Amino acid sequence: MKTISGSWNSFEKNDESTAPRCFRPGTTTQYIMNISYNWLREYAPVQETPEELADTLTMGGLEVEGIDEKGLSMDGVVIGRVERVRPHPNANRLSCCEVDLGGPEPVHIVCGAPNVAQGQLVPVATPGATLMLPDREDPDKHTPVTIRKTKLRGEPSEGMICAEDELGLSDNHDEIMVLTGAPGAKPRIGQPFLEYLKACGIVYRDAVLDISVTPNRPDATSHLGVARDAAALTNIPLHLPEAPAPEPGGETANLVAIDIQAPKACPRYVGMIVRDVTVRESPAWLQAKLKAIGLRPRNHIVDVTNYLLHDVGQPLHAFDFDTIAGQHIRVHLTREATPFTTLDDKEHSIPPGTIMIADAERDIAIGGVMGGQNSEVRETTRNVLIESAFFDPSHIRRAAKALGIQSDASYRFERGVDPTGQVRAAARAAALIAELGGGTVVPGMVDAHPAPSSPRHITVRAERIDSLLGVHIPLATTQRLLQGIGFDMERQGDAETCRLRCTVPPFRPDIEREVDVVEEIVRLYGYDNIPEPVQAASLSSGTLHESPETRLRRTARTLLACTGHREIYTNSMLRSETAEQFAELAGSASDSVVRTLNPISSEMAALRPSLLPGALQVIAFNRNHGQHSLRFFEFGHVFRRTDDQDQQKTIVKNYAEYESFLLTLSGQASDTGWNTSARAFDLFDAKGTVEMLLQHVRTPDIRMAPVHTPAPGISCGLDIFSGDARIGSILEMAPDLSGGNTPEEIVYTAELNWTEVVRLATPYLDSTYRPVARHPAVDRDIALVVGREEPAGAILQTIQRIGGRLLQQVRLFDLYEGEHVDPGKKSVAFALRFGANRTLTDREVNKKMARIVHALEKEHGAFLRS
Amino acid sequence: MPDDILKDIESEIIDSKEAAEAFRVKYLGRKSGEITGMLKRIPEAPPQERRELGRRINELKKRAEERLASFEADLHKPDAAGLQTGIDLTLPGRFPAPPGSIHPLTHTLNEIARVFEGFGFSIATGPEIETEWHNFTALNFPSDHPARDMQDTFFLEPDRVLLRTHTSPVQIRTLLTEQPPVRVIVPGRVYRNEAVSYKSYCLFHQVEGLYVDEGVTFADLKQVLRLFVQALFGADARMRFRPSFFPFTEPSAEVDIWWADEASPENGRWLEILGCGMVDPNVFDAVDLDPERWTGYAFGMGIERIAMLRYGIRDIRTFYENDIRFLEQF
Repeated sequence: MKTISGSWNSFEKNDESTAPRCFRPGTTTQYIMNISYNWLREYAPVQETPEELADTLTMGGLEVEGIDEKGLSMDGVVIGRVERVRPHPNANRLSCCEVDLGGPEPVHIVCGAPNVAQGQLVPVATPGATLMLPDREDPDKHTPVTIRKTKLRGEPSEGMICAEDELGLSDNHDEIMVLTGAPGAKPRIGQPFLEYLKACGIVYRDAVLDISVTPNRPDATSHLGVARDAAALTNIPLHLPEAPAPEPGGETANLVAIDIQAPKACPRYVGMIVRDVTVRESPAWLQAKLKAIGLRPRNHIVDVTNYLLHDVGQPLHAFDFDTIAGQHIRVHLTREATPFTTLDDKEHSIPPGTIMIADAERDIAIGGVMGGQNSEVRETTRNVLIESAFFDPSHIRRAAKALGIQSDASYRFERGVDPTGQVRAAARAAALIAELGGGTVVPGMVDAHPAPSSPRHITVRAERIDSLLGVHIPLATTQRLLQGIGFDMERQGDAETCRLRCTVPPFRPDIEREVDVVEEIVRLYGYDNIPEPVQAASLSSGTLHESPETRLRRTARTLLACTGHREIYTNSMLRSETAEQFAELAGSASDSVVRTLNPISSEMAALRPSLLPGALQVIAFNRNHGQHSLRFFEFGHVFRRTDDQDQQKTIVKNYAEYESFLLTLSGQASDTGWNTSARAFDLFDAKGTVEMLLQHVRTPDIRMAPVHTPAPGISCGLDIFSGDARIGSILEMAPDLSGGNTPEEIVYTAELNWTEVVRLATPYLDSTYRPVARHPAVDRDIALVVGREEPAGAILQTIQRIGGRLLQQVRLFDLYEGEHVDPGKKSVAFALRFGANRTLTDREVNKKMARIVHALEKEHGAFLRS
Repeated sequence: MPDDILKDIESEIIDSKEAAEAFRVKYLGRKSGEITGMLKRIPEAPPQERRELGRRINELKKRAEERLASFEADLHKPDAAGLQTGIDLTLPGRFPAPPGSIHPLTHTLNEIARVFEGFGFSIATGPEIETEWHNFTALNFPSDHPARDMQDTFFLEPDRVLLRTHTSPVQIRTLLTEQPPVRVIVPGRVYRNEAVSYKSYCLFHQVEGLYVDEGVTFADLKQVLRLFVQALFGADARMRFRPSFFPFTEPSAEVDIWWADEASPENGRWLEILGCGMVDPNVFDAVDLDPERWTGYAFGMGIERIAMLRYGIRDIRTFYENDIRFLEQF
């Protein structure tokens, strides 16, 4: 069994690897069935090879994930008689045997099995025979070995006496096979072993198909069910197994009463009794069938119930009838948690609402899930009660989940078994148990069936089939295909409004609607047989529109990659403490962190409030791998809890989620080159990159303001605004968050609310062309002395404000402190460019310059440097 | 006579290999070279002049050989012009910026999006924190479907809020806000509560596709996906549609492509790359569209899986490690 989420992709399939998958019980929607090719052919005598059949089934909707070939060449394996056995002179565990193979002289064979003895008839692989020997560590792995004449510890050995596993008959390696014969099959010296096996009724070669059954195919969980598909897909008749038809009542009804107290949970319960039975080992044919599909034979009663489950898909349970008190079976639902011991000796607390089978005194089985220890069949059992019931799928699903028990039975009941198959399965089981155990079937049966279901009818419109699939399938074909899988149907209407009134077979509870029938038709018809439209795909009737979101993200990615940055993808899940720390850093409360109820581990318990922690990990990882110039960026969603009812910000109530953009820089900004010198990153690299990006995507009115009191872990930083909206920040991380304190280890980072950037930039995406001024610009430089503490940004803003529309550009081109400048002062110099849609006069520009200087003197205490 | 020849030798222009060869033949050729001829004729000169004549002819020969050698040397100089200006043009160039890179998952997504945009699909997106209704109920997952278990899905609030397990809820969001015809692809990050290993990660990326209109058929779906597979995997790519099951499509199929592999017995194998099907009528009911009027198809694929195939990446965790030595290859 395996887990799959029912979505387009499952992780198991998210990889091309052929590594073995694990099909242990767990949450399941898909199920791996082992289907024996030979067994299937009893019902659908297909001519295809196992490989061809696998392909046919796969293309019909039953995906064959693997084929295990069972049994290989038996050429060179013959029956021999052990004539003499003596201990090996040089090895304690080995014996030297003389074996008569029907030739003139017996051959010498060294044998390691403890059970080898004179007079045994045994299978012998003669020199030249090639066997697939199992690996001792991994019995599923086989290696071809060719038998040769050899010497073992000095003694000649001209063959090998075989154990079952060496011939691929089972996994048994404890002892060599001793052939005792069977009715009509007497082993003869020198007889080819394969011939003997055939005479015993053992079909030696087989192939087991591993079929992955989708949740909509409860009918395909048995050999008969898969055979039905195989017959339909290859257009051959299906042979149904013959079953006796016992009359209701009879002596059985005198021996046992069945009382269904929960008819919704258990609409049908059939009981039959076999008496005076001797519990035995199953015959070879039955054991071989069970072994072929990976089941371990136990005793003939359990084996028969397992056999029928895999044969027709009806789970059965066998009770030791003598343990059942009061000759009474009662089906009820638990009202409260009830202790119960299942037949695997495990104690369970059965939750309320679980279907239980009880006798007159106590519970004896969990209905449809597992039998109880108190009533199970033992070696001493003489009389057997066979249960063949229909349990409601949702009850079984809840019980199996609550109890953590996934049995072959519960799996089938969860999906829904054929509600009409109970009597047939019970009658076949009773007959077989009696036959193999020397007992007799008690005449009659009890068929408690308070609410018989009636067949479902669905009307399918021929026109709808064609319009959904885009191909015309002739009605006769549709009818043939559906009949092949057990549908009955009736044609209605004239040629124009032709309909099929379909009777859904009882083993297809999944088929409820017209479209479900269409799916059945098309899977049998074959997707490959649907031709593509003759016309090329029609043009989109919707608008072709690249969203601003997509467009700006693409622009930004290209810009950043082209300026030396590397895009990263990091995990959205992280430790709760880390998330809290970075939430605070991003200005949110630590209790706004979003946590999952069921994290994989404490390392991934919360959702990221910021992209920064992920990037810091990437920086540490790459630094540890010898990288020293680190420029990364990432786009990704970040999350927090919020009480904000604003529909714009919260798509899902109480959660705010937006796309974030992160830039991180650390280490060497540039290396030493032949005419460049090395330099470590600083805050202005991050600031400049963000300015470039925001200008490039045309975010309006960008402003950056120093953070007055940086959060713990931050050395200094700037808040980024577009107009009045804060859209992000630029930070220099303190050494402890950077992971070091040398200039090369400090991390500089900028994070933007990208969703907000896109919103603000969208109106400017398609701006109109502004004619280029044809008149010459006027350039003026200005050098000022101001107080050391006076921020350059404020001076720039004043120049821009006073400069107004005439000032086209202003650039800070020099910053100086020291000689020729008074202590406590600094010199700043700006280059200004004036222009307009006319020729500016010197007077005009001089006037403007004078006003700028005046404002700078007044507002910033600046004076012109002489 | 040697003096005249010396003038000739000095004035010859040797600017190509052909010119050099002509020069060699003219003066030094074994049969008819002028200098060779002069050397041969030394015995014809009066004995007392022979010595001096021999010396001068040898000088000519030496000079001719020098000119050839000088041409050869020029030929192998890195850049004759450069030396003249005193600049070593073989010095490494200055990059405007160091090399950067775009993540392989972005590349793969862009490639997928490019193809579908060409078919007229627009890009739609949705939240990663999703309601159970959008993620499961509206998509026709039965109420006790195992995928709704905590074992498969990360929940934020019991039975209400979760991390989306697929991009399919955006089908619902799109159909609730836009009237058909709708033709969108939906890229995005999805989450699964599964143990991390080389072949599974707790999150991955999907691209969902949805087309709803009047008269959309399975044949249309086949065509668009065939064109897509050929765009991504080559015009000779082999593919097949195999019946499968998804709660939100009916009928459903999985698409396999034939992946050549010389090591395997059949020289290759079928690899599943995407799931698809016709939009289930119950999905239309959930978004209040009439399934009798509208039909549609949907498909979905894992971006990591396709990137792993395209680039031969074996371990899904590689994408999230962000090793520069990995990133710089894309």
